Amino acid sequence: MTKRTLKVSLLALLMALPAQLAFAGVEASFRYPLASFSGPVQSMWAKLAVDPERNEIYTLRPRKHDIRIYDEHGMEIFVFAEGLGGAADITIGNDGDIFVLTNGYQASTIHLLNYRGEPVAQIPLQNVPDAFSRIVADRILHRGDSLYLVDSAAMKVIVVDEAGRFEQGYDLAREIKPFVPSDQAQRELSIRDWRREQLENIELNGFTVDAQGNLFFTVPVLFSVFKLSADGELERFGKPGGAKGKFGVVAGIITDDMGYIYVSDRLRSVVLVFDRNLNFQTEFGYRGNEPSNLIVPDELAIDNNGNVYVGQAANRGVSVFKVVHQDARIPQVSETALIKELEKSGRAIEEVEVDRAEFVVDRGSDVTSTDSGDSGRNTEVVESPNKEENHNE
Amino acid sequence: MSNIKWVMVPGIAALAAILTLGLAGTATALHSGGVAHCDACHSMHNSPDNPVAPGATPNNLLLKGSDASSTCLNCHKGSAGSYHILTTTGGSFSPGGDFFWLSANYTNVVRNNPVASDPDQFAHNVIASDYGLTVDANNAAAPGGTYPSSILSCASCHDPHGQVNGGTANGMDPISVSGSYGAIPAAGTIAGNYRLLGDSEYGLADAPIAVTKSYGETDGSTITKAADPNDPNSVDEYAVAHPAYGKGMSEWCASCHSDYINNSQKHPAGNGEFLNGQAANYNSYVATGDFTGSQANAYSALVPFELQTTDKVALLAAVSSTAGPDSSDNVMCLTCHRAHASAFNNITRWNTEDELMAEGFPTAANLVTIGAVANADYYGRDIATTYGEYQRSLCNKCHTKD
Repeated sequence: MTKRTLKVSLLALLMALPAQLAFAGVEASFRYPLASFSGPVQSMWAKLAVDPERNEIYTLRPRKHDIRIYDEHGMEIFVFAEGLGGAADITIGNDGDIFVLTNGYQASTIHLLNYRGEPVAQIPLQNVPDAFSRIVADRILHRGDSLYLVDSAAMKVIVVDEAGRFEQGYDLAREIKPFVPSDQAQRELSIRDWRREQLENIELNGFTVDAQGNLFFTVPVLFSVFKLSADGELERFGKPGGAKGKFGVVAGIITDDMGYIYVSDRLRSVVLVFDRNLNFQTEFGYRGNEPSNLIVPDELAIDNNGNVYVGQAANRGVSVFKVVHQDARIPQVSETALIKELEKSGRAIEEVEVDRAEFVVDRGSDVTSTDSGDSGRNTEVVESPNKEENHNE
Repeated sequence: MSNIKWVMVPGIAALAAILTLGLAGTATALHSGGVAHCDACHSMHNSPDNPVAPGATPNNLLLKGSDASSTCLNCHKGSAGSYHILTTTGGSFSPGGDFFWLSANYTNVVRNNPVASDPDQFAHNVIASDYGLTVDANNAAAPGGTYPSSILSCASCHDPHGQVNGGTANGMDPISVSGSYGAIPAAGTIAGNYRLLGDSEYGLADAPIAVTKSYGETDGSTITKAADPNDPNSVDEYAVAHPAYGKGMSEWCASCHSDYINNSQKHPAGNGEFLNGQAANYNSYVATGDFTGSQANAYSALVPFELQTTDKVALLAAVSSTAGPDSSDNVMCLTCHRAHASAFNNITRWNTEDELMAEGFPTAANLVTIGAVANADYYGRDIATTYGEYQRSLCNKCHTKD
C-alpha cells in the first residue's frame, strides 16, 4: 500500500470547500492562440514555461531565439532576444527569476536572467558525481527550490539547487530497462547484435515533475508514459494505436494540481488527458486547420487557471485550451488548493499520513482506488532497480 | 514519386489487416528494414485522430502529416542524437547531416559588404510544410538532372515502405533484417536496403551497399563510451563507428544528378573511379604542412571513401576502422558532400570556399546567432585544434596542394 504525506486536514476541508471545486469528468475547450496586438504569434514548437506567481506564460522560440511573455489572457506583454543563441529551454523560478538553458557540444549551461531578460549570472554545476558528469541537458524545469536538468538522449536527470549544487540524480534509461521488451531484446541481441544500437537509442520526448516530486516522462519508441514516484516505484502506461486514448508519438507532458496528466501526441495531433490513476479521460485537438485543431503538438504548460498551453508545428503558434474537471459524486481538489485554504483559514497544518486509496475517491465506473489492480488501465508497475542507489547523493 | 503511389495500394491493404488485428506489442525499431506499422504514417478513413477540417483538402495519401516529409519528421525531428535528422541546434551529427542548416540565416561583412548566408544551399530542400521546410528557391530541378525541386521529399530518396526490387509483390523474398547494420538474413529472406534507400524499382540505380553501426559518425578511435553506463571503464566497441561505404553510392545519387558521374568534365566519382595515387596522399596527410601520417590511422569521417565491396561482413569490420584507403578504393559523391545537409554551400562536408578553414563561414559567432551548438559545422571538431590555424581545404586530403 503506497503512503504519501499530505499537509492537510483532508476530509473536513473537502466538505467545506465551495461547490465550484466539485468536478465530474473532463472537458476541454479551445480559447485562443497566444497573440500580440498584431495578431496570433507564430512559432514552431515553442518551449513553454509558466510563472506561477504572476500567472504569466513564457515562450522560447528556438528558431527565432527570442523569449516572449504573455499575461494570463494570452496577450503579449514583453519580448527580449539578446544573447539567446543556443537557448534550448526555459523555466521560471519562485521569484520570477528566468532560467535559460543553452546547450553546446558536450556541454550545457544555465543562465539566470532578471525579469527584464538581462543576464545576471551563469550557474555552474557543482559536486556532480561521475555517473552524471557527462550530462548534456536539453531541458530545464524549476520545481520547489530545485532545478531539474534533463539529458533527453541519455535519459539522465540531475537535480541541483538554484546555486547549481548537485542534489539528486536519476538514470531513467536504467529505470525503464525492465520495460524494454525483454524477450524480443534478448532474442534479437543474441542473434543479431545490430539491434543493440537501436535499443540503446531509446530516449525521452517529454518530462515533468509534479508537486509531490513524482517524475513523469514520455518515451516515444515504447509508446509509453512513465511515472517514477518519489518512493522509487515506476509505473508505465499507454498502448500504441490510432484510436482514442492510444499513443502514436508521445511528446510533451504536464500534470495539474489535481493530478491529471496531459500528454501531447505528435502523430495523432492530440493532447490526451489521464486522471491520477492513469485512466484515460479525454483528448482534444486533432489535425486540421480550424483554430481548435492542432498540428504536431509538442510542448505543454498549464497555469493556475487551468489553461493548457500547447506548442505546435506548422508555425501555428501556441494554442490555449481551458480544461474543466468535474466529479459527480465526491469532490476532488488539488492538494495545493487545500493547503492554501488551510493557510488562509489560519488553521494548524498537521502532518498526516494519507492512504492513496482513501484519498482517491470513487468517481463512477472507471475508478475505484489506486490499489484496485488493473482497472483497465494498461499499467505496469515495477520497483525501481536503482531504488537504493539512484536517488540522493 | 509515382512509384510511391503504386506501393500505397498493398500498403493500405496491409494497414487494414494490422488495424483489424491490432499492433503486435511495442517495438523499438519502427522500420526494422522493411515496412513499418502502416498506421504510424497513415490514417485510414480520416479517422477520429485525423479528421479533415471543414474546407480543408483531404490528404490523398492518408498521411498523418501535411505531406510525406512532415510525416517522417513526426518521429525524426527532435533532440540531438539518435535517429533525429532535424534539430533546433544543429547537434545531430549523423552521417547524412542535420536539416537544421536549412534555417541557418546569418550575415557577415566581407570587404565592407554584407554577405548573407543562403540556407537553401546547405541542404536538400525537402518540403515539409508542418516543419517550415519549403521548396528550393535556387534550383527548379536537381542540379545535373531533371528531378523537380517542387516534389523533393524524404521519400524521394528513402522508400518508406522499405521494399527491395519491388518487394514480395515483385517476387522478392521477405525482408527479415535491416539493411543498415550488416545483419545477415536467414535463408529464404533478404535484408532491406541501406537506410531504406529506394532501389532499381524506385530510381535508376540499385540501392548502394553500405553498413553502419549507429546513427552517429566518428573518425575512429577518438571517441569511446561506456558500454555499461554504470561502469565507465567498460568500452562499447560500436562507439567507434562510421558508415563503411561499399559500392554504388554515386550511381545512386546519379538517379537525380546524372550529369555528375561518367562525365570527363566533372570531378570523377563512382564505381571504378579508384583513388590510385591519391590513396597514398590520403594516408600521409595529417594536416596542412604535416604529411607524416600512415594508413593505419589515416581515416577521416570528413573525407570518407568507398571500399569497392558488397561483402557486408567486410564492411561490418570496417565501421570501426581507423585505416585510410587502398589505391583500389574509390572516390564517391559522399567523399565531399553530405546527403541531407551541412553548414556549407553545396552541402559539402567542409568549407571549400575560404582559404583557411578556421576562418571560414559559419564563424563561431554565426553559430551562436543561429542557435547552433559550438563547432556544429564540423561535428564538434574545433578546426584550429584538430588541424591547426592555417589548415586549408580538405580537398588536400587527396590532392596535397597545400
